[in-house]
Amino acid sequence: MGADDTRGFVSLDELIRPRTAAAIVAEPDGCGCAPATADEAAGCCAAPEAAPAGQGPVPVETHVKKRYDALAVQGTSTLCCSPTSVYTPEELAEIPDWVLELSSGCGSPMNAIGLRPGQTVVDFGCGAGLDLLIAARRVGETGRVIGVDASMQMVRTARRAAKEMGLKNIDVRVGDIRRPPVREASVDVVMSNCVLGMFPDKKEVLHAVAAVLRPGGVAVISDVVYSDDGPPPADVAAGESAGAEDFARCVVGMTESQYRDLVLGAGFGSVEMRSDGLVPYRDGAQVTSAMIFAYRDDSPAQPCC
Amino acid sequence: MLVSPNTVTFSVELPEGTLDPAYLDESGKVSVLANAVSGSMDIVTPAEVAVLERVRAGDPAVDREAVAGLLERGYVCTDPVEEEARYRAIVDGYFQAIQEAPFQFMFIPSFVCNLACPYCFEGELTTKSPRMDEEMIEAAFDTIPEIQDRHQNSGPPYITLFGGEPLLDTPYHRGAVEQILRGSYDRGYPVTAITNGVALDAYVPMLLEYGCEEVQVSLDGTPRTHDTRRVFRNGKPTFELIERSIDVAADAGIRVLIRVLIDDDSVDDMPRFAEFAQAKGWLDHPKIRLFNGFTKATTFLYVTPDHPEEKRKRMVRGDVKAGLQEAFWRMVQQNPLVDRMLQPDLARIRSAVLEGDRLRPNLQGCSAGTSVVAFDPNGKIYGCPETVGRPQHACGTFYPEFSYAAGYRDPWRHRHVDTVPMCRDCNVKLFCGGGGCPIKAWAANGGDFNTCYCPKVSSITTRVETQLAYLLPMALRRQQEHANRPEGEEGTWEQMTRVGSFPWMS
Repeated sequence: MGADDTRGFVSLDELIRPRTAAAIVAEPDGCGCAPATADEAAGCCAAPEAAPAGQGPVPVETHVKKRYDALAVQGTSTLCCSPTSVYTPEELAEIPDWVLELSSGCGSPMNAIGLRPGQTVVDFGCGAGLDLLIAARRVGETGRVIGVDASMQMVRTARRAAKEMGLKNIDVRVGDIRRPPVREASVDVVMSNCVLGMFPDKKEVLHAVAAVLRPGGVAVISDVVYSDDGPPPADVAAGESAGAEDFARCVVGMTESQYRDLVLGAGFGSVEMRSDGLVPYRDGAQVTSAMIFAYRDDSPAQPCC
Repeated sequence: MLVSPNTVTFSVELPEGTLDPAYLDESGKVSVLANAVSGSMDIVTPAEVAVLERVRAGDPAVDREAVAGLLERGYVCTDPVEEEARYRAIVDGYFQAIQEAPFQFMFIPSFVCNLACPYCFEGELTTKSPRMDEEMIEAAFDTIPEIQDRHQNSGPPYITLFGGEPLLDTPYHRGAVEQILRGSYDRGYPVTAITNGVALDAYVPMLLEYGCEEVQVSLDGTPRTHDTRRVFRNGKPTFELIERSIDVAADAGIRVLIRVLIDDDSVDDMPRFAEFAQAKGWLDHPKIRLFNGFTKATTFLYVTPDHPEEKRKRMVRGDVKAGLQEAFWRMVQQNPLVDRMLQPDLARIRSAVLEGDRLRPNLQGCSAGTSVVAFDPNGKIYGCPETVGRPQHACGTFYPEFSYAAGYRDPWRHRHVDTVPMCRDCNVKLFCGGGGCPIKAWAANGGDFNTCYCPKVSSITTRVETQLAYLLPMALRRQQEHANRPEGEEGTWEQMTRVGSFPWMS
């Protein structure tokens, strides 16, 4: 039986049969296709609205989650940027190769903020856990790093990496970052590396980010942002034209002023933005990326970065 | 002009002198009209019932003036399409509500329990059990967002410790319970415990540390009754231990819900127990609430759709205890202190009758299908806490791998009064929730959730009429007391309550 078995009464024998890795990839996707590999899953259908009979359209977030589950099983990411293009060899030292293979994110929140020992940090959309591992070293044994990801397979991967590296201050949780499994007002820093762009309702996620921050906390978000002064770059999807596949590929963007308004409207006291320019994706696309510093209260007199 | 499909006429027998004789029909009963779509409930005269019946029969000569009151209260309507739209809005509103409602996740560290209550639905499971280890508890937490996603539920999850007895005072249980409490606290999930209460006092510091605000314990009546049934495995009594735990927890600020279990053997003990609870100060304690539950046989747990039909039908009817509810109401009627203690509301009409609330439609009699999931120590997922540990009722696994039988769970989740064909055309459906227990319906009818296992329609009507017969004299007495009070003695709030309160009378 698969995780979404649509049959009726099932016997115990069928029920307790575990879901195998192969079964995950072969399961029919929300779009109705049954991709054999993660790459097929990634490109199987640009319009996943064709849901099983009797059900509503498959939400974009579900489509994205399935895709990342499939990537985790496959063990290689084909999305966004390789971490070797954003982190130095020293920063990536001792990180297992399979974490690097699975990491997709064009920003480097770790380099944008000065994490201090003892801080509590949460990574929204931690994936295979690269940023968690780097952050865990910086906050030290007295600090705590929490990873949240909707993909159970990615969470398992991140847990395995933390265990392999002997980092005991990492706690990885399965969860939807719109309703994160994190206590309100309990963390000092939220980081999110190329993840918010996969959510059609970014405002909802930003509200959740603000809610988990303690007073004085800051969120450092890498996302697709383009200039107010011109049209979006050719590979960036914007507005109503963005489809589920665009969200999964993390190519949906908005202008600086749109993003700024969204952050301030979500309950943050102030926001700063830093352009990271044009970044090349693994699949050849080029998007404009930015680092967003969202302060829960007014900007600190001495910025954290 | 037509009678609304959801208008129900209840016929209620009241003590002599309760009402003006003009309201009584030939048999001496009073008619109460109710419509859960319009939210109305009214005492009406025999003449008004006659007008309603003439409308039902399609009599074109019905005087519009005579119908005006019935029209205004929603018992008759002029446009069937509009009436259907009003009903449909309630059904749609129900789906919206269950998608945003809190979702309860029950963690069962082990099935073991230190008590040997004769009516326990977990029975033999409680003597020997596997245990949830750290990895399983983590896996259960991992499963929560997955299940909410599949149920399209965005409500806040809340965690309930369940058993067996979850709060056994053993090193294993303390470790497992603390992991579950910490996991809940760190995630911002509220947490509660359903416990027998014997060792609750020992857990109070831990519960407070992790923000647990509410627990539920059970008592079977006075010590004399309780200690003949709810006993340790060696037969030793438990009442005093539970009593102490309740006091310790409530005084520490934890809300304690006391479920008072009632059956044929204990129903007559309730007046004495109410006196005991009053003397203890429990009835007025801001952190304590008592409510009634009925013990029941659970033979239905042992049948599945592949069993022979005759066996299925027989086994799902095995829990019917004729006469208990009647005995219960008789006892409550004679003992106002028991009413004050339990505020019983078997037909879910109490606030409409006594407080003037809108009559609320009941589209689903059991929340298990829509917003409850239990994780057992075998790694299995159950949709109904009464079925836990019976693998034939599991709907998935959370450990070692996650699986979820959507084909089994989805029809259960979507089942309500409008999906069960037999209920759709029944005009008391909004008073019963539709189709009885989903698991019984599923087992009795060959694996189809959209079927009916219900007591007969007449028994639903009787349930409402029995409670009306109990509540109406109380409501009328209150109304009379208000009317007799000198002007100016009533506060604004009292006046507002009285204006909105049932019974409305023509």
